[in-house]
Amino acid sequence: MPEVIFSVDQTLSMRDQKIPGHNRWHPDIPPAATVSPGAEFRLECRDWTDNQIGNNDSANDVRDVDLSHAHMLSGPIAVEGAEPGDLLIVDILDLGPIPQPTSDGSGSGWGYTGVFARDNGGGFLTDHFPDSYKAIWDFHGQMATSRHIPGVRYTGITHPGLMGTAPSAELLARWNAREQALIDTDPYRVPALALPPLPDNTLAGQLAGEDAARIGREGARTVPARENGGNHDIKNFTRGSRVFYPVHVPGGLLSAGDLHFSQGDGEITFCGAIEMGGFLDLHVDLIKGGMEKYGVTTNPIFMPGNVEPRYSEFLSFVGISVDHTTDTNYYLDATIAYQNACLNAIEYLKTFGYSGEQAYLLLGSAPIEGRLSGVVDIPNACSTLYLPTSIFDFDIRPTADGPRKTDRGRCAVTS
Amino acid sequence: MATYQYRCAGCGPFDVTRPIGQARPEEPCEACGHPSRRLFTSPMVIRTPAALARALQAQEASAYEPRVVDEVPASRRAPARSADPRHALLPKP
Ligand SMILES: [Zn+2]
Repeated sequence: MPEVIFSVDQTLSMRDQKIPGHNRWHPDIPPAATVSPGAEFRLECRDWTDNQIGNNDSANDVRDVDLSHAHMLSGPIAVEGAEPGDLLIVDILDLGPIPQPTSDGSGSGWGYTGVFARDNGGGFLTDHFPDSYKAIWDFHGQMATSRHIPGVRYTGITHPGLMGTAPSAELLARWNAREQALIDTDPYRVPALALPPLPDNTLAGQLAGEDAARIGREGARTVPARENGGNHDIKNFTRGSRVFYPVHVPGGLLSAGDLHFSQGDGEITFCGAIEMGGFLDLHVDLIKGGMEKYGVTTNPIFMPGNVEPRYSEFLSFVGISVDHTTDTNYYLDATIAYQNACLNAIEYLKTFGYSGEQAYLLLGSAPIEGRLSGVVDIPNACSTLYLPTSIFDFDIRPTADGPRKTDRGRCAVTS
Repeated sequence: MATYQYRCAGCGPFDVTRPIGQARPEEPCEACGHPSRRLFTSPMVIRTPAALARALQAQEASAYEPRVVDEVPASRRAPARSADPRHALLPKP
């Protein structure tokens, strides 16, 4: 086991750790630890909400989640000798839930999938599912089951949802300017178009007082992915993945968190992965002057991992970019096409007795594959969702007998 | 009701709505009143291109009887080659 260079006492909030992490992007958050190029090490991670969600049968905690705490990240980790213009190589060696739990928080043998209410974050299908729902998943090694979605058992495709390097002061200022410009196009939209810096509940590592307050005023929120990486939520960012991050500040300042036990293509419920606290083992190295040498400037480059569950049979659900309620054609809009594919899958699962909410929670967390099948038939984009059949303990395939509708319980809802 | 099209020699085409099957061979122009002959146009359904009709049908069917397939197309697993040839030289893990 590699050395733990960022440790978390899971009985305490990230704010109360000996060396706290952070929840904003800012170049002035001081490193929590320093490593040499070539080092292998372990980061311990809190759940992305700093454990606001409990192992219970009510979705009230999802409804009332305070997103100003998110994402609670472990780091920053400085890499000796890293300078702006270098490329930081990061390999994912291993990750998982908390190996020996000392508390009852997420990652302690369980994780959760949530659907956020439309007025608190929303999700991919928020117009169809405007309220909050939750499913608790129990971990059995690398398998997951849920009392809220019975009849399903699958191997997780485990990955960190969020990883990135610190932006330079200049890059941070550009982010803040362009995101404010987007917000200004429709300032009262729900959900908001983007989230501007927010001092409330900002955590800036070991900084306190005016230094921390300034991070709160300037620091970028961690929700979108940007030039530094960030919240990419790529399900194939598994063990064996390699990323090349642009270095924007001395030391690189790498941070990570938001561990996912599993997730489908596109984190469709916004909190759609199986979220957990846990550990993340990394190897880092440097390519001096790599940004120019390899032409990596505005985005990190990913090499996907080679560890993933293998399935040999899928149901395929098709969606095209037409809004059926208004008969509106959207020009090559793959998002609407994928929404329709998801809605078709939900309709189908309902014929087996699942509620729409259970089906939505399942599609967010299970290792489904999404494909943009073609945009040749202008004006329609076509998306297809592939759902593995063997994650169900009954025959989910269409048969001459028709679907076997039985009582499949219900997910956690709000009271 | 259905919409039928007529053409006035002076004013051009115009539409008249009548119950299906009750179109008259001539209608007075809505602007000048001149008797105008009916135009025969393609029915609405033909306007849906065959490819789109197939896609619509596939979409509708998949909510009730999704296709069962053995594999997923490989688009994401083999991401498109980067346009920058230098990216191919990045060291592999
Ligand atoms: Zn006329």
